[in-house]
Amino acid sequence: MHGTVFPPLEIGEVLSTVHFLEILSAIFLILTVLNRLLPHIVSASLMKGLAVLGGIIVSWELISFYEIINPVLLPPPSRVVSLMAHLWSIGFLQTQIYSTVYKITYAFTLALVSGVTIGIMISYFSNTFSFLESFLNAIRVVPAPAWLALAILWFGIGHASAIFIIWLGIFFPILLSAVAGVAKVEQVQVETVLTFGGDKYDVLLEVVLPVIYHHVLTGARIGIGIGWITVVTAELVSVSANSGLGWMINDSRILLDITTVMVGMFLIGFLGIVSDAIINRFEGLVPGWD
Amino acid sequence: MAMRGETDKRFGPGSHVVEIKDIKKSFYVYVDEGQTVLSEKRRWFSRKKPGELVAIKSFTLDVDHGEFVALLGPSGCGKSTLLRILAGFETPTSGFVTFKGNAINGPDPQRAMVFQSERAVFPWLTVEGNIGLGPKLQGMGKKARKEAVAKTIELVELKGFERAYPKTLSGGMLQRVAVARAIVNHPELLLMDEPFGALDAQTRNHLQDHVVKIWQSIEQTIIFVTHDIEEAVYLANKVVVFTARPGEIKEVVSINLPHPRDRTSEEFIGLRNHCTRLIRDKHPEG
Repeated sequence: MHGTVFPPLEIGEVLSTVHFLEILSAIFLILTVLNRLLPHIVSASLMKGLAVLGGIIVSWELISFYEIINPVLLPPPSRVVSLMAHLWSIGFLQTQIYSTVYKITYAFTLALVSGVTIGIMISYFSNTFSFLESFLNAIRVVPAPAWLALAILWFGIGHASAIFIIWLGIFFPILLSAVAGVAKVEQVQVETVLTFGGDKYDVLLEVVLPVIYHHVLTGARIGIGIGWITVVTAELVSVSANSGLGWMINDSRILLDITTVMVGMFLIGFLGIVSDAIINRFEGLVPGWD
Repeated sequence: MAMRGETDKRFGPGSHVVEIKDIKKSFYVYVDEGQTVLSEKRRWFSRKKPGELVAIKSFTLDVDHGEFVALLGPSGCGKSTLLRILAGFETPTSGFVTFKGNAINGPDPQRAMVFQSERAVFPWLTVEGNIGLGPKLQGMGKKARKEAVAKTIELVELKGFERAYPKTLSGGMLQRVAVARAIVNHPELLLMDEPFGALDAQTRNHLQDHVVKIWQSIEQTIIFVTHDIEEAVYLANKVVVFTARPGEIKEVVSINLPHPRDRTSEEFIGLRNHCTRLIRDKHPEG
């Protein structure tokens, strides 16, 4: 998998440093005006954050421009942006994003279902299933790359192996959060359901699931973060082209194409924020005491 | 030991709602890493001999249909344990307890419980959802459930708060939700475990009137645990005064004042002082 299938990525038109700084200043000017006009949307604190970010980008650009650090090792942001625009225009990036998002979503759904189910089994039905706990703890501490060989042998080269590795990363935070949530169920809540003639399964449905909801959500947020971390490792098993951002990073790393690596890093960071925001949306769905 | 699950022939059905016959409840006391742990069962592999804590020692009481019984005593006298035995969460070490002629064997919708903690109300359900929980678990249809819930909400004066979530309610309102949730099924016996202990005096008085109103409007047997002497005398028509641990009956005081009772009347004060003296006896230091 040494870049033989990587399409030739020639940057059509590279922004010059001057041009790039001009655009940056223009954006900053527009934001300043918006800050005056719509202070609720473009708040002062947001402006402060953006100013710091802008400062970092400008210094980074200048460091490359004056070749304080070799631009091959640290490509300037103007180059990264240009390449991203080019890869987007030929439809290459969309394919990679789709492939990775598909795998992460698949693995996340599997992890959510299996994590909550097994978490409830080993905590709520601990009389029967507590023996699983130490076994799972042992698996938990084995790092994901260690599973690569087994994953390839079990699931072959391709999506399934990658999904397995990502699942491993997301599964354990959700499992642990479900177990911690079950421990937070109060005796009086259980007894309430019992006095109304409910049984163990009514307690599970009416009390345990609502109580662990917030805990599982926290676990899911940690899990999806780890999921994105494992993407690059997981997509080491991908050899076909168009197999995701992790594959793109791996492949261009080997070719010392640092600009493409940076495009991939940027996109993973961005998608990470988006996925976290989506999960955060579910926070208010089940009210608690505070 | 009671013959669990089968009708006790010595008690014809209907004679008393609850019969408590010479029960005793004790726990084994273990010390785990400096923490005291109460245990129902004796541990198999323990080198240390456990201590024994007798919560209730020889207790006998009959409760008839429609009675309002207050269990009054200092904290730790076993009155809450007795209530938990009646609810079916715990079994007596010896002696037996029957409900409508049957030995109590686990919780039952006919014996509803109002817990001490406000946290017994589920924060993830609305007021309506909380009150409708019992009917739902008993498989009542959606329409009938809605009707029953609406009626009960009216009774506890929570109209307008049907869709509110518990975190937006005050402590007094939460306890009204808890009471409503317990009575919505019209249980034969209502068990209340210091339900107003955490509330301020004004709210407490208000809720006490509520409970009397509910008791009068839907003929019900109520057993009410409290350590508040005035509350017991104000509410009940039978106040069972406990001794300090181990819990025994000190005296059963009958209160035949009509409702609503006047807290400042001479008879009321006389009965209250009588109960105070009964409780003081064991604690001369006060």
